[in-house]
Amino acid sequence: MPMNLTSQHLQRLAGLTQLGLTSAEEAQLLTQIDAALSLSESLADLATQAVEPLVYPFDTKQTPRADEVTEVDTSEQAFKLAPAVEDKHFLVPQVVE
Amino acid sequence: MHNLTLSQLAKGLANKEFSSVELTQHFLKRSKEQNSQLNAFINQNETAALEQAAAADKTLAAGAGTALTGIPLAYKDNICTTTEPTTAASKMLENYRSPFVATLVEKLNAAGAVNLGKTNLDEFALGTSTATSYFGASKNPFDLEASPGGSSGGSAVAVAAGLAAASLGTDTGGSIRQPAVLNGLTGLKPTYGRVSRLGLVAVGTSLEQAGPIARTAEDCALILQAIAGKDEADVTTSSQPVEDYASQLANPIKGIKIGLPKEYFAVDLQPEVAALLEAAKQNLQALGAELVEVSLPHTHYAAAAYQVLGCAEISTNLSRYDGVRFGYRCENPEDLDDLYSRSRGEAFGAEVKKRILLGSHYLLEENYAKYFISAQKARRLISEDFAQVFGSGSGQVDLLLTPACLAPAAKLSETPVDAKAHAQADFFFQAANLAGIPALALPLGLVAGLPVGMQLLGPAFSEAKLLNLGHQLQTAHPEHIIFLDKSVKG
Repeated sequence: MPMNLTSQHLQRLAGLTQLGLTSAEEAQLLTQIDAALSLSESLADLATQAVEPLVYPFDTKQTPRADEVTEVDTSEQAFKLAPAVEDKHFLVPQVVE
Repeated sequence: MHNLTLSQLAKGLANKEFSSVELTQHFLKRSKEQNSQLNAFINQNETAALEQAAAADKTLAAGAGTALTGIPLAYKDNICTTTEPTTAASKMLENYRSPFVATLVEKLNAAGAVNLGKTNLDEFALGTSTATSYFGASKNPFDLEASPGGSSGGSAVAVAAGLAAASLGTDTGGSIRQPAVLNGLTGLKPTYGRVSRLGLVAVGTSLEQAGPIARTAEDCALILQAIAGKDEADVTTSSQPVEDYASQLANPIKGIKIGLPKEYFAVDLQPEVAALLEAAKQNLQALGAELVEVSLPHTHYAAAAYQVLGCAEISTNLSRYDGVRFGYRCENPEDLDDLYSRSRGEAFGAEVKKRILLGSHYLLEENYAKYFISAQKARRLISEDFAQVFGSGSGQVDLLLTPACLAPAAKLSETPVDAKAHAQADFFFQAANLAGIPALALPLGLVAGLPVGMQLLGPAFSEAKLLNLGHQLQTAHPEHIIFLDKSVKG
């Protein structure tokens, strides 16, 4: 069952996720996402049912570990992975006039 | 040597029939000859592999080896290593080199295993055939035109083609089990929290687990033994003690009760697959297993719940790729927004984009309760279905047996592109990820020259029982172990 996803809504999602799309991609994704959304409609009848949501597979409590330093500083290695770096700062286009 | 199981290779190493260096050279040579055709590996570091092998030989000579010392393994390329790039088969991470190794790699290194290289996958492990890999699809060694399955397709192909003794994959919704089945191998998705996820390229945080792909259940047991256990650096790992898996493989299975969930059999199985499945049931009965029909009434929610929760987690996890700190950056960005959107737009493939967009749709304020919370409710119901059949009452069972494919691998050119087709390919697998339970895929035999398989499911932390059953079946009925006994078809 098609959900009639609109181009406007797709552009909203692309904006929220900072995902640049070409017009050809947009046309293809409209069809594919629309078809995918119809699959999730089968969950609609659960919205009003009193079932406790399950977030992780098990309801186990996650315990924090002891507050001890275990990691060495690997920032030099991390900066080597960055596309542009200067004086231990990541470079991006100017955002303040 | 490539026609031996991992445990046979371990015996060969221990008996000094060959050295780890010789074994590693053998597999590296086979990769050189066949990888251009099969596309199983994305990157290999021969020097590092041979150094590890030489160190393993010294350990073995000193009589200090483990079952894995000197065994050459392959790692799916979404598992962080420091000797090769970790690309996740994406342009986004084409040149990424992790500053640390994944905990499971650290454990296998400590056990003396040799890293043969990083295997191909669907981009960010999102797919069922490796067709979405930035580096092109892997090829099924049983038929080069057939899908190798995915997303851990390269890991399965490497083992099936005899390019590695065994491999590691990850499974978010069937990504170890489906390629294992389509390549005639045994694949284990452990219980959620059994194996550390630290150092996996995060995609489906609440769903994914790493595990072995190997020839036999015994081989899987040896690998699981090395990688299972609590990791202080991954709070989702369990403190549950790790069992001695190998020592339980020989346990007789007489009296074990196996459930056949009717929802998993209400599908259109190809008659040849159904016949092999029937033969496997009879093999189990001959070993003393009792088979009974059971019901998992909320199975029909699994595909939708998996899509919603999986895409929501993908959308969130992949938001870290912004072109600033690491990964691909577009040329000459006009401003920060342009940098973000063009870097992501140019580096992510179509399947990844689709799932990010779907996930963000489900997480919109107006959709959150309708889809996201409903999917978590479905997850509860699916999980309770399993708890019910694995409970302690009189109608309960020890394990479940299900099909694992409708038919042998489709042609790569016909592999699914839409969500519905992906859901069909993953139908047998996703519920186990939602419930966090372990699952073992086993070969059934060949249909028209292509492997098909079956699946066993068990309650949380029942890996020993699953591997025991798999081992007993493979020992008594060798047709449940498949070797590609021919060279690659042209």
